[in-house]
Amino acid sequence: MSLITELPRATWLIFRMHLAATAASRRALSGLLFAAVPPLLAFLALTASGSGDSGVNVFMYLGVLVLLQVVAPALGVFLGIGAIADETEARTVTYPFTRPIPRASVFLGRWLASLLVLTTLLLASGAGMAAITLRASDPPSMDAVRGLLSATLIAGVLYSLGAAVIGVIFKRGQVIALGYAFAFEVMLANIPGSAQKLSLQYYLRSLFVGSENADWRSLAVFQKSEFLTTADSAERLLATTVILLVIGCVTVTRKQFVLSS
Amino acid sequence: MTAIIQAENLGRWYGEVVGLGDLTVQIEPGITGLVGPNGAGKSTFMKLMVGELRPARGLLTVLGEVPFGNRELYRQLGFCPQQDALYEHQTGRHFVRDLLRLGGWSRREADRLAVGAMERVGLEDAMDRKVSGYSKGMRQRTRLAQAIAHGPKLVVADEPLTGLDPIARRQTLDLFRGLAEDGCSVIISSHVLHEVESLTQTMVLIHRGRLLAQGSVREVRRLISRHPSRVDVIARDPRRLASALLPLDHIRTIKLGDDPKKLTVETDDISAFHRAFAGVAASAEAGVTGFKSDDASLEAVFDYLIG
Amino acid sequence: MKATTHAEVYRRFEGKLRSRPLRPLTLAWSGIRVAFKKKLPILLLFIIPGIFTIVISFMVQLKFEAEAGVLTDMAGMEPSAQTMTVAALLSSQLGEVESLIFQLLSQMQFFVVLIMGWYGSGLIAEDRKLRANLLYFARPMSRFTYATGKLLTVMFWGSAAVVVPVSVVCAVASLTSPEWSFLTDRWPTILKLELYALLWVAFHGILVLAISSLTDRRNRALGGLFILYFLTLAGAEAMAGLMSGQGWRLLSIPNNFSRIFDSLFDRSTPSIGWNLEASLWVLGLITFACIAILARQTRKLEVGA
Repeated sequence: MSLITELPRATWLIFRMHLAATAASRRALSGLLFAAVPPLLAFLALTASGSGDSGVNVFMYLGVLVLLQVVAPALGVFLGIGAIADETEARTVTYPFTRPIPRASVFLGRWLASLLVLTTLLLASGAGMAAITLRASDPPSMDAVRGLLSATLIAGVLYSLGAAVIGVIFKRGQVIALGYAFAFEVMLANIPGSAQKLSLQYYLRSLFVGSENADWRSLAVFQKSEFLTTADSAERLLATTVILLVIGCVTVTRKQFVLSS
Repeated sequence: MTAIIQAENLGRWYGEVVGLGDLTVQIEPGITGLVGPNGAGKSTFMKLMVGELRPARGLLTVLGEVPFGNRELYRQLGFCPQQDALYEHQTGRHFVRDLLRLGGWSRREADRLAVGAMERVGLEDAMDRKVSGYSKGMRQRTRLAQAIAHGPKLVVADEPLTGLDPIARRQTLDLFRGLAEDGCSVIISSHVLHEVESLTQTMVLIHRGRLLAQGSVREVRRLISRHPSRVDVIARDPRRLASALLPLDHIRTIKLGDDPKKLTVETDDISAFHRAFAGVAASAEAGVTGFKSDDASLEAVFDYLIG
Repeated sequence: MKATTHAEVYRRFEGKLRSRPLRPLTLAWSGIRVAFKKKLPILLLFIIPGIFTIVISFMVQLKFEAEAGVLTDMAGMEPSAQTMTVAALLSSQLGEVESLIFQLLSQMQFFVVLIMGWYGSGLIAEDRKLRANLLYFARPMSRFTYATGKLLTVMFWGSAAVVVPVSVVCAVASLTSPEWSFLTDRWPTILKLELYALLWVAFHGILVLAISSLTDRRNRALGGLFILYFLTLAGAEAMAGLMSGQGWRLLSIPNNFSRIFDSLFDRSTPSIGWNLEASLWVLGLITFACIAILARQTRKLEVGA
């Protein structure tokens, strides 16, 4: 069987093999707790305080500062890093790697299984936050909800893929992935100027803020920044995804995984 | 006979630690025991055979193919790793079945083969339980089941007898014999030398990453000339027998121990000793009742070579 | 021999243990030695704190050297005016040096969390995974000794990242200041700096160990620490921004430490308007929760659960 036909078939089988285990893993359950934070904060902001804050304000503020900037990268790293790293740590990688399948399918199948769990969590988190804020006075527009949720899901794809690639390359990649997501990204994304363009957050924000979106621009964090158009940022994010996929597949194909007995 | 494994100047090291130094060896079809002390390089050699690692130097072919990432070779190869690792969320049957499916089998066929393999390793009663609840021996047998389920031409088993109780050990050894009778070659590594010896006479002895000896145990023993062969004889009159044996050229020493009926003979030429012994014993009328030579065992050979 | 049966399989140790107060040090030292075997993480983790320390030390030295040059130039001035100018200059200079050290401390804090997370997250998690707890507690060793030994290990690395750099810069300031004036005039500040650094290290050490004791995978503990840390930080900031109430910032650990820092050094941060007691309560509660988790988890480890 050729690589072209074998890769999707084996990827699907690996995905099926690991989906249930990934969904029921402690990692996913902890992720559920973290994903519950944005809706919980939205609920507190709108009801418990009695401040009467507007729904759109709460949605945008928590959406950008908590959901997109912390929860999506954190869960992305937390769930994505294990794609190959979990197999090498558990020393089970021997089994799929001594089967007549492309090695890349192990990486892709496992990453897709974690991605499905991740996107479910992020979607639930974002939708929960939207549902709460939509019932408040001055609710966010559906465009804003769609924009932020799309950006959050894309953030999940990119951060989990980046973490999965780091997990393939480095034995203890989690600290690198976390360092990147929380030190490098957060610092660059929040400094006004062109340095922002070195962060994924900039392109993710460009997806929904765009150049002329007045609602989003009312947020202090966006006031001093120039953003790309949605199409331009989507193009760059797609290119980044493809590059990361290629790096992940090539590395896993070529790399030797030394397991202790 | 075409070699199933050919290694030439094979080397693999982990940083500064030498896993395998400079190994040149050919392994023929059949059952082969890969033996050596801890850290000798057995597992490294096996990981190279199944393409888990790439050689740092030299050349290795398995069934005529370079193993690393070779999908065609993996169809003909079964590997039972040493590490006690399984997909804990699965049942034994599903574990074997899903790995078979990766080999291209349909779901139904994979399930049939998985059940067959689990039965063959004696786990038919436990195969629908989660592997996380298996005992060490059951886990070992599950690893073995996934290695043989697809009917490979070559099974590479790293310490497959570890963790098994005596009955399971006997069953596993029978399983390997059965595989060999079906035309499958088996390479097993083990520390339990007498069990490997009961399975096969063909050995590859590795020490410190290098080939120490290869061939049948008796052939190898014969080659170790610096250690005389030792034979224990039980006789009614061992002193008379000793004085009759002493003039033979190849006799090195004769010891009379605490047991008044026993003498231990060390000879430089065991074949000549065997030829001459019957005549000498008869003429001496020493009343020989027992004759034992156990220093041609794998364990003794192992000791002599490494010692 | 008289035949007996032993149906009781587990008995609480009722003998008397010899008192060995330095026992945790043995455990700590073994943990530190294991970590020292891997040189690359040490290099990568400490390179930035190291650079910071060198740069700040150099700046401190330059400040005092520049001041010495000014003093030489003022040789022709009247003694009374000279004395006053020197006193004023020295005072401002010392103040600037203090600011540099504060800057060092604030920039170093997150690296300390990273370093302590790296070295501490596996300390109990790996023991659980490898079942090493059975060996430790079979010594027999008390839970307190075990936890203290692990805490000292993680505190060693935290101290190496923050207490040592602060000490180095203070030493450079003392040595290069005229007649050791930094040491003689500002010793309370030096003491407070060291105290604050130690407090930071001890608190985070307990936090890291508590998280480590909850899992048997080092990576999960490390991820949990980071997520908890940054989620509370970002959540607190977002809520404080949304609701114009600074009280939300109490949810974030670094903000509470900033409040303690402000009190210790008579500074004020506009975004931190609450009183010191509130921060002490929050940090105290977190510490109590962490100790409770540690006590429960080490109890499980002790009985081999």
